[in-house]
Amino acid sequence: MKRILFATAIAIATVCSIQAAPLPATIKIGSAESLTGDNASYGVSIRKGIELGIEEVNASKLLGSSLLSLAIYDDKADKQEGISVFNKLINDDKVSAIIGPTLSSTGFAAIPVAQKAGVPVIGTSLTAVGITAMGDYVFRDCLPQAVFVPAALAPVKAKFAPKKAAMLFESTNEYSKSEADVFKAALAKAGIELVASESYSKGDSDFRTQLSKLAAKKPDIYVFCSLIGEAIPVLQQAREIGVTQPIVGGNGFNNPNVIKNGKEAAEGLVVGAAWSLASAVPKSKSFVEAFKKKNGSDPDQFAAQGYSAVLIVAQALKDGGSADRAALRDALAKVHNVDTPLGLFSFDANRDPVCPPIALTIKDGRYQLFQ
Amino acid sequence: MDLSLFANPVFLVQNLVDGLSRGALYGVYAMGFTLIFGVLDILNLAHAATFMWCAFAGYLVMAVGGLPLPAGLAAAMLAGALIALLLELLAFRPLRREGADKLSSMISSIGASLILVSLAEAAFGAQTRRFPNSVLDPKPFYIGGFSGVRISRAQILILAASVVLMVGLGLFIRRTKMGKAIRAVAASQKAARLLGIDVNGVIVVTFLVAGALAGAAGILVALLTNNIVPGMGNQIELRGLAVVILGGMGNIEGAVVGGFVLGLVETFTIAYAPGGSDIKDAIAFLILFIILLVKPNGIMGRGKADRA
Amino acid sequence: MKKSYASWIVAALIVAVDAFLCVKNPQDLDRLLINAILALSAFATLHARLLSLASAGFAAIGAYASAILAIKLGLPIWLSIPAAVLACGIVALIIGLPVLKLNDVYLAICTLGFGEIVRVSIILLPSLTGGSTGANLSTGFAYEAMKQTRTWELALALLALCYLFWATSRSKTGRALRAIRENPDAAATMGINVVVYKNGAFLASALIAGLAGAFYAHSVGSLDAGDFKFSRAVDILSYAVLGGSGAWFGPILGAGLLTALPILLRDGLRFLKDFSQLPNIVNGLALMLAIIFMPGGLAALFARRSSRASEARGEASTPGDGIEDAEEERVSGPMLAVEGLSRSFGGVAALCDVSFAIERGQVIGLIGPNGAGKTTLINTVSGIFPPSSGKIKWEGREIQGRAAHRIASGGIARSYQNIQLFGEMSVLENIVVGHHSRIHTSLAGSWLRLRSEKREERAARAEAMALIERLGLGDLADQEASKLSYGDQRRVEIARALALRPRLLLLDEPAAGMNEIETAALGDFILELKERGYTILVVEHHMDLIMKICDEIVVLNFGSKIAQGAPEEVSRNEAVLEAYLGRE
Repeated sequence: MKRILFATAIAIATVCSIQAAPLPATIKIGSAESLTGDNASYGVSIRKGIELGIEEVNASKLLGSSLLSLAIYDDKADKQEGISVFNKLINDDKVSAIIGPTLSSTGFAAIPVAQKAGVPVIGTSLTAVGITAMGDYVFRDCLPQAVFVPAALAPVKAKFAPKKAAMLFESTNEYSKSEADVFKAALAKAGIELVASESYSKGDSDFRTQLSKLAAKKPDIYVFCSLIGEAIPVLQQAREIGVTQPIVGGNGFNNPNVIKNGKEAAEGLVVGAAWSLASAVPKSKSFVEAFKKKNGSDPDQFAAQGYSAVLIVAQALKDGGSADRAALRDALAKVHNVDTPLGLFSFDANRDPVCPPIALTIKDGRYQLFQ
Repeated sequence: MDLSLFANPVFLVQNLVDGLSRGALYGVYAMGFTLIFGVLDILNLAHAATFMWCAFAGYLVMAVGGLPLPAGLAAAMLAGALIALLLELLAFRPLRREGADKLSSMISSIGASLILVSLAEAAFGAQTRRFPNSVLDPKPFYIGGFSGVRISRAQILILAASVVLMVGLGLFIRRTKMGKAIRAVAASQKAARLLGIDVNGVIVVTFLVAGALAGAAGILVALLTNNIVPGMGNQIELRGLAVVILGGMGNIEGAVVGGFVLGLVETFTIAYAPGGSDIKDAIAFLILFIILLVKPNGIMGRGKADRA
Repeated sequence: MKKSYASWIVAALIVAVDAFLCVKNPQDLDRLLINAILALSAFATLHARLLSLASAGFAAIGAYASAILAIKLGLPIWLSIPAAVLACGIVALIIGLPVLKLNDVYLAICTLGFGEIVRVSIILLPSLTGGSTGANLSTGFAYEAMKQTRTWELALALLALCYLFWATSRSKTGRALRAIRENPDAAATMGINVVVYKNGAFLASALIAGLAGAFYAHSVGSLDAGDFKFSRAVDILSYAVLGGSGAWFGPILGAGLLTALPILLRDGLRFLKDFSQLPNIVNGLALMLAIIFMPGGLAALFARRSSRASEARGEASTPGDGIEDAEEERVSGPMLAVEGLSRSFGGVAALCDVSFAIERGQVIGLIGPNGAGKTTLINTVSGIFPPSSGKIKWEGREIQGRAAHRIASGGIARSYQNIQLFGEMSVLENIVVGHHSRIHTSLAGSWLRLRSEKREERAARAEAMALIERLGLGDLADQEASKLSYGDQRRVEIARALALRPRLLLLDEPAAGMNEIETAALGDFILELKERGYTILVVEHHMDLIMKICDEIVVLNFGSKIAQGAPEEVSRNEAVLEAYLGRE
């Protein structure tokens, strides 16, 4: 008994001493992203956002004389590689927190490693159901699909009063498929009948057959759930076969390239989003400018979420005053109204983000808020 | 089954058009692949990566360089021939000298493919590249009014190209002296050597032709889908294999016919089968499975001596 | 000796690097072990000359089956994994029979198609598998049921597999598989049931892949269909090919190398952080260079195991010269009767209505110009392919269309016109293959290392050695068959046929490539065999030899029999002279 008391006392003393200690000179942040292969476009975007965030935090002296440094590895969108990289970040690089990985499927395999080791993880693109349920060290700054996806539907219903909807989605991708499920539920809730639903596989390039089949049902609106690779051809081919009805796009359509490459085919498209170039949030405007200056291109939502994750971690480091993993976790859970491009950011009790979704439309070659 | 769709002749013809152009795409890709198999008996798994590089070559010439379509086509075919030549010299010939088995060549081509795809990722980034509309007007033609059958310029181009390339390659193989030498090497390298044929030279020509075909396929697929990424070869690779088998390994006309069959099957599965778009990939391979079991040499299979 | 020295260094290096990485990051050990098991799965088929890419598909079945059983039925993994492996076995048995009829690339594509069908099926069964998201297999409570890392069990499974592969490689089964790998037709005419062995290899491969897949599921803790895509199938094949399909430990080294390499590159090249593709480029380059400089894979670096000829020589306690006297006749009537035999290839008749009979103890010569159908006749009788029509009666029973291995074990042995030895096996081993149907220890017996197996093997080796020495090949017993001179290879072919203890011997141009002295010696040997009760059908162009040894001669021309009779008789026959000399 005495012994236990003694141990507890020491433990308490240790915790106190850690919290009292100032931040170390360099604080390592780890990241595992899909930097090569088919999912590299997301991983690379996120990485650019993270790198910009770290530069800005270091320049701003937010953490006093402490500097953030980044250890980032390619997880190759592979579960075993994800696990391996997480272990490396935790044991070799001794990072204080991990941002990533890019895909939810990799996350389900790798995040338990961090949870077990007591290292906070912030997902920036892990929108699948159940990510934060993996443990109390798991956070994410991306809105779950169920929150922002239907955001586009309400104003569309108000404006066009559609009765029948038709849907096209990618069936081989977890993101698009669950997005399609979210849309189905939202349509049912809004009292819009889903008269036809078609799918395609990753890498398909010709969607005319599916689209013709949908058009044969004469829907009032179309819902497309595609990732960016297929989003533009889907849109172009839909216009090609004569679709003039309103099109509601999934998150894949919230990408500057949709306008750049889709041109007039993209006009009038409506998307619900967690973030967009058109966002009126002040921090977002400065982020877009800085990103453009550094990388020579517009950021996308993934970059914004990666960038925001760094700001959130930095704020938690400052608030908690400690780079210790457990202390950082507690500080993260408590962050309140961090100024990020996503808006004033906080986590809810489930460590999911609290920030409002927005509905956008493409008009005159720009994303604009949908009224 | 959605019976109302069957009664719609426009929908039917539309599916025929879409299916044939989809199939032409597979066929053009598979021709070069099957040529190498016919002559050397090896599966060149770097063919898909060659194809992807050619799409980028065409993109650079047309979208960045601003040159017209024929120049893009030429650049893509040239790039394909060049890459295929490198593959032959660096990945395949050293193994042939060692007298290694065909599996080794396959592994070597896997390594080469990894290098080519990674280099493309490094050079072009992961973002999708697309042609500006000025390269090829995406607006389709309509036959029988606006609600009639539509066909896009890219579809016409790829259908025409597949037939021209098939006939051209057929004539080359059958009528020219080099074609005869290629067939001789395909039948037996040893015998060809005894006949005084420069076997390595013939193989180089074979790779050049196969590479140029990969180039044509790359640029045509890029035009049809307008989706150019370093991973674009992965998607067509499996189907290319299926098509080659359908047509009979090493059979060039078979590859085109096999392409049309697969394209039509996929399109009609999507169009008419309930939940068709979900099962089309499985259907394609199921058909392949069954054809192989019934006709192990493919639908147009012939003996090895007739190949290539 | 030097060769094996270098190979041990390579092996030790791979093991050391892998050990180092796994100490640094224990969870990489799971990955390494799983890849090694997958490599063994690919090896099982490759070693039997099956170019199968089905391992990824079976791994998917194993993974999902075990995960679903663990989560939905709450089975503990020591039950769910065996059940998953069993499921793979059932699927393999169902698809194996039709699929394994295909050869080489066709089999590769077909098995690839199988993998795709499995993958798409996973996506299409969302209620069971979570569809493309796979998420409901890995969220919340279910995750706990699934994620059960079992590194020790995994290591144990790999060790057990290593033992089984090692024991199998030393058994009759291992020898039969090696023979099939080198030459399936010749293996069949040595009495090996090629279909059964190929199906067995495919089944083994499926079971092993299923095991790896099941462990994968529990090690990683979440699944989706993308885990088992085409590139995974290709990876698995690379392990086995780079490792070498000649010996079981090769693929394990291959997996060790190809698992470690990307990790080393990732950690070693991290300073180039803006060039994240570089590790992949170097990896591809390494794969190419490795296969170019080691075309036989890592296993080929190791010196071939001695076939223990000297040992066998010492054990040659069996009296005699390894040639058994042929058994007494069982049935009355001719030993072999060919009745109206025809065979055509794509409309061209290679054999047309040929009939003749061979009496016991006779030596029959089969002659005719090139393309007369002599080899076709031997191929038909020995069961390489069935006749288009007609009957072959062996000791009174019709055997046409019977599988080659059954004909061989029924007492008909043959040699080949173009030598079909098992080129990479030693001379001794080639001949021991002929003992295949007389070694009775089962595979399970070999795994248990029963004493009876040791006895049988020793006896077979001793007998084979005696036969080799009788044929004057004693010094060459340990040589690789393909390294022998042409004439010696012919003699090994005859010895291998004799090792079957046949009652009828079909010799297809046994003297081709021999000089006069060798040919004369061969003639004497054939006559000696005749004296000891063998019945022999010999195809030859050396007319001196034919005239010397044959009791009767059958002459074929353009697929038809044009003459039959005693040597002198035939040599005066008008039709024969015409056929040979082209007289009008």
